[in-house]
This record gives sequence, structure tokens and C-alpha cells, in this order.
Amino acid sequence: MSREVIIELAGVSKRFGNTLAVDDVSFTVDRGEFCTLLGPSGCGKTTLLRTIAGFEFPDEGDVRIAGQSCLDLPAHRRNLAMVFQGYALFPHRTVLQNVMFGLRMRKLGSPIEIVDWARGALAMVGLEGFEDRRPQQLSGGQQQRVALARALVLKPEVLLLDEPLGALDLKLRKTMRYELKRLQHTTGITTIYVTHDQEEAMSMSDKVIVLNRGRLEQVGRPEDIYRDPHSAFVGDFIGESNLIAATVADVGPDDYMRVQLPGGTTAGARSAQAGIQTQPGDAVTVLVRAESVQLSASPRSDGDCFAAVVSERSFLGATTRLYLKAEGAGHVVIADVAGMPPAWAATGARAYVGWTPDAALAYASASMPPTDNPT
Amino acid sequence: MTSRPAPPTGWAALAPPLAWLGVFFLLPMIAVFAYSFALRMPGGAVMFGFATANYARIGESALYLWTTLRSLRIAVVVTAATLLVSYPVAYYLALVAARWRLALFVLLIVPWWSSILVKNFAWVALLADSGVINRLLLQLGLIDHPLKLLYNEIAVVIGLVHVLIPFMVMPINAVLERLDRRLIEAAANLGSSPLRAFLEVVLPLSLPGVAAGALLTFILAFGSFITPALLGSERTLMIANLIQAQFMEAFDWPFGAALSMVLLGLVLALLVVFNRLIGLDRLWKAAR
Repeated sequence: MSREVIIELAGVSKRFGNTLAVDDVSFTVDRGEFCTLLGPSGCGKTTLLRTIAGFEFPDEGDVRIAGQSCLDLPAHRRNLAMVFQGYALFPHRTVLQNVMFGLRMRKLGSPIEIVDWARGALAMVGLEGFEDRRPQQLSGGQQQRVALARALVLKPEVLLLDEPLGALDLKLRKTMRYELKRLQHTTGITTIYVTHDQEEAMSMSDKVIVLNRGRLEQVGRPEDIYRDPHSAFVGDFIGESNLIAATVADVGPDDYMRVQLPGGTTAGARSAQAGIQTQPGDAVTVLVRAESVQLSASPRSDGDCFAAVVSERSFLGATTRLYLKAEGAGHVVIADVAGMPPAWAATGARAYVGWTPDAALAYASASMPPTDNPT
Repeated sequence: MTSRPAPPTGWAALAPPLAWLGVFFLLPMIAVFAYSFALRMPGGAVMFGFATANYARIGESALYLWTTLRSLRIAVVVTAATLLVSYPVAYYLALVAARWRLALFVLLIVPWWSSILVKNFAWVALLADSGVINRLLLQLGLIDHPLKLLYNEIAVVIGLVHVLIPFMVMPINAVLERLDRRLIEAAANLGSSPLRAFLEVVLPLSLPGVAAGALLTFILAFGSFITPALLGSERTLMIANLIQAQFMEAFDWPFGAALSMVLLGLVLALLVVFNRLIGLDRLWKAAR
């Protein structure tokens, strides 16, 4: 499949007063791709989406749609369709009139065709029979479908979605996730999706763009971002991870190293930033996924472990999450174990925490993120 | 939200406004109602009873019918003109002005606090034969002799529009301020030019505010008496001027009271019609 860039952002910066909402962000979106802008609130993801839609104009940089700069194109002349946060359905219009609105404004067909297409779009999202209702008479999930139909019926170049599932309850959110993905797949429409929910981003996207404080952190396929986070922030934001402040004790070949953990024990790790040389004594942040933490009732044979007390257990279904407080150091480690944890790992009991060197990624400590975990 | 003591509900909540209305509105209205069925005896004494003579007298003279029709006409013209002036102001305040919004609001409200007399006399100074406008036009050589701008219906309409603008701006502004801006963005995103977005989305959604403002303006204009007295002539008298003349000049309180009841009845009838067509409850919802 040949790749064709449909949206291109080049060095986009946007300032609101004294805050730099978007700081020199560049990325491309290919035709047919499902691309997600992911990050905590205030990371600039919505500003970027609004910039593409034409509601904001960048202070620096360029936005190109199908190769053409669109900076002098007002929002109503761009062939994009957006699903707004809260849907922004017209309360004084019926469901059918809402879906017909864009077709009428863009004069895409005769009045009869417009009604036909709008009915077809409503059928596509499973809302036949709701044509004459008012948006206020629909449930949140149904309103969401109307908003989707209103956008998709235009067959836009790009579909923009701004936290479209944010207002729905968890169960419905998961159903709609699948639904959205199915619609995107059948229509083949290029989609840019904004969310702060990493699970949503990982499960739906072809490409994830991770943003933090207006800056681009990492771009890649979900599995690559999960496996190889380029910064401690990305590793922390995506998936359940432990971040432990440590010091480099010894540097080995192939980016492997030994680090000294708080409390004095050492453990293996590997440098996450290939090519960046670390020296013994450097401060690093070690990232270990919760599912990679290994627990044992007695010290490991390689000695790379520390004693901790099980302070909390929460049953998550397929896994159980244990919170372990390191003895002598005090930091808390999260460990996800499959099924029910062994009997020796009861609350208040002592367990030994360790990991294989491959499972621990070391980042130079400058990239230590703020400690508040948004997930 | 900070927690507050639970507000009283039911009749307890309604008691203060009901008491206020009872003392300052209902009791005086009952007095006027009683007067309207009384008779004025030769010499000026008032005899209470159930005489319908005052009401019959209203029908005898064409003056009252014509004055009522004139009042209706002036009120309609004033309402339309006030709407035309006020909508852009409300729109600007709610959707465009950002930094100066508060200052502009003060500019709108402060004149509202000043006396209607001051506002009307200002127009005398502007519209008189030797007033600002005529002198300017004369000096510019656009006219040879002063235009007759004062003491006619146009002057009355101008004066009333000036006084009533805040009553129209406020409800429209309230509705526009609560308008979800994303609806305007959605319209643009779906391909509407700014004008189309206004006509298709903003205007229809602001109609409850327009209706509320128009109703207020119309009732206030219909019952006005200071402005037609100051800026009009005997040919622009409105129904309230006739009522005032009966009370203050002819000292015929029973007849003045009967005229008052007719005015009240007309306004109530208008409210009923309005309620049928638009729904007062919808205005209430729109104002929240």
C-alpha cells in the first residue's frame, strides 16, 4: 500500500497569552490512517486538532492538507468534519436536520439526495427511526452516533474527533471504541483522534502521537511506543509502570548497565536512549512495567532484588495488583501478577522484588516526569 | 460550589415575593378596581358602588379607541426599532467583546439608573428647533430652516427606544452568552459561512431572548406616559397620558381608574396571546 501524506504539521507553535500551548510540533498523517493525539490535559492535543480544523491559527509553522498550506483557509472552506467534545448537536434541529446540515451548507446534492444520504448515514450508525427526534431526547451514546453520522455523511478528507467518548460511561465507551474502529475501517476515512485515555489510544490507533506540555514526545505504532518508550514520561503515561530514581553503578556492553537502587541494592537495566553514554555515578530513572516485576518468597539467586512489604492488594480480574513498600527505602512498587497471587504474598507479608535486566529501562534523570500520574 | 443552607421550597419560598406583590401591586389594583365602579358626584365627592357608567363612557368617545390604537402602533414601532438597535449590541457584548465586555456593560447599565426625565430632556436639547442637530445641519448648509424634529411621534419613538434599549439587550445578551460556542464552530466546520452560521444557528437559538425582550419592551412602551408628554404633542398622546390627565387634571378618579383597568386588561390579553403563541414558560427557561 502506497503511503500518501494527507495532513502535515510543520513546526507548529501556538501561544495563548504567556502560555506556549503548542511548542514546535511536526507530524504527518497518512491517508486512511487512524492517528491519535494522546497526552494529559493541557498537553496541546486539542489545540492541535482545532488548528487543523481552522478554529485556531498557529503563531509559527504550517499546516498542510493534501500538500496545500491551509493557513489562509477559514474553517468553513476546509473539507474536514469534526466530532466535538459534547457533540455540539444543534438543539433546535431534529436528528435528521442535524445530519443534513453539512450537506446543505456545502451544497453537495439536491434536496432529495441530501435527505437520502442523511438517512443512509443514520442507518450506518444504527439510528433508523430516530430521524424526527431532537438531540436532547437521545441518550449520550445516541447523540454521539448522530455527531458521527453528521460528520461522516460529508465524506470529508479527514475526520477529526475531540474526546468523542469522554462523556460516556465505561461500558458504552468500550462498545463505541469498537464501533468507531469498525466505521473507520469500512469507510477507510483518515481519522485524527484526540484523547487523554491511553487505553483508547492503544486499542484503536494505527499511529499514536504522544504529547506533553505542548511538545511532541514520541510518534509511533502503539506496540512500538509501549515496548520502546523514548522518555520516562511516555513510559509512565502509557501502561502501568514503576519509576524508580537510581544511580548508575557500572556500564556494560550493548547498553546494559547496573544501577544502584534506593536502599543500596543493585539491579540490571538497559539504557532506553540508545547511543547516549552514561557514566557510573549518573542519576537515572528506571522504568519497570508492573507486569514485568517479579516477586519471590525468598531472595533471587542472582541477588538482584530487594525486600518489600505487601501493603495493598487489588483484584483486577485477570490480574491482581500488589503495592509493595521497599524495606529501608520506602518507595512503593506496583506489581501485576496473573490470576490470584501466591499465598505468601498476603497483605503485610514480605516479598522480594526483582526483574530481568531487559525489563528495566534507564532514562537520564532530566527526563523525569512530574510525579502526578494521570491514568 | 460552596455549600449553602438549603433554600426554602414550596409556598415558603414564594411567600416573600407574594407578600411584596400583595402589598405593592394587588392592594393598589383592588383600590383602582373599586374606584372604577364608583361615581364622581358633582362637587368632586366619590360614591362607591357598582356603577358601569365609567366603562360606558370609554366607549362613547372615539378619543379613547384612537388613543389606544395609537399607543399600540407606537409600541409596535418602538419594539421593532429597539430590537434592531439592541440585537447587534447584545451580540457584540456576548460573542465579540472580550476585554472590554465589563466596561461596555457598565456603559449600558449606568444610563439605565438615571432618570427617564433626564434621558428624555436630553432629546429635547438635541431635537429642538435650536437644538444640536438642527444647528449642525444649518451650519453645514444642508437645510435653510430648522426641521420639525420635536413634539411629534418620531421624537416619542426615539425617546422610548433610548429608554428601553437595556430591556431588550439584557434578555438577548443572556441567551447569547449561554449559547454553546461549539455550535457556531460546528456550523463552520460543516461548511457555513459566518453569515449562514448566524442565520441557521445563532439567530434561531436566540429567539427566546428576542421574545422576552420584545414582550418587556412592548408592555413598557404601551404604558408609557412621561416620554409622550415630554417629547410629543396632543396629537401623540398615549393611553397612559389620558389616565394621568383624569387623575391629576380632571380629578375624576373613578373614570381614570376605569381607563386603567382597560389598559391592564389589554396588557393581560396580550400576555395570554403571547403565552399561546410562544409560551411564557419557555422564556423563563431561556432566561435561566
